[in-house]
Amino acid sequence: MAAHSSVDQPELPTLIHDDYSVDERDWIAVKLLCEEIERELAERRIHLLRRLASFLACLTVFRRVEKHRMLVNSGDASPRDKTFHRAILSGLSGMGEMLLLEFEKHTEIDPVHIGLEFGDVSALVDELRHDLHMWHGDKSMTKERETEVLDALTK
Amino acid sequence: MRSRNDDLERLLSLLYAAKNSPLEERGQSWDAYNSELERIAKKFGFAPHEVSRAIRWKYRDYVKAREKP
Repeated sequence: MAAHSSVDQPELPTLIHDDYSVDERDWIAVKLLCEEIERELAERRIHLLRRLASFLACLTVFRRVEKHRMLVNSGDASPRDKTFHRAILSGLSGMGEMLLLEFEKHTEIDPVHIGLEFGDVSALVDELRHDLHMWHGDKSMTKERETEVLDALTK
Repeated sequence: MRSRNDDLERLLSLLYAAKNSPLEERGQSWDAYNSELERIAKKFGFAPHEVSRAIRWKYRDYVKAREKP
């Protein structure tokens, strides 16, 4: 029995992961996902580790949209991008802080067995806080001060 | 002796590494970035949050350059 037919098959397009492009509507998808996870966190019906897994999945999607809209987008991020970015980042930061409080006290299952260490999850939450300051914080910092900092670092 | 541009480059590369490291290395890589941020801020007499805010567009350019197809 022939394993393969000798008949020419039509060439299928190659799916290149990087071809996926994020459009503006994807902020809405991230927002909906965050709202769903926020509800899960508030209801506390599922185990902490499952809530953590949902949070991490949401964070991954957020970072992906962020990368396209705020970082590698050909032009500047639009005011709409910045508004959604700040709102979702704030929400994720708050959720992360709440999860960390529970995670710190968690004793039922050793999270290391499922690949989660407190220090690593804590670093993710620190990063969210850092990014809020980096992108949207410290409105008191003047353009002159910003230039002064950059000049010191680049001259 | 390290030049100032080296400081900025190093900070940007550590931030990129921290943000792109696997979860199990995140704590370590984030600590490395924060230590460098504090060292550089102290060296030039700025607050760490001032430095991280000031470099945001430099970081964006760095990511663009790293991920350019």
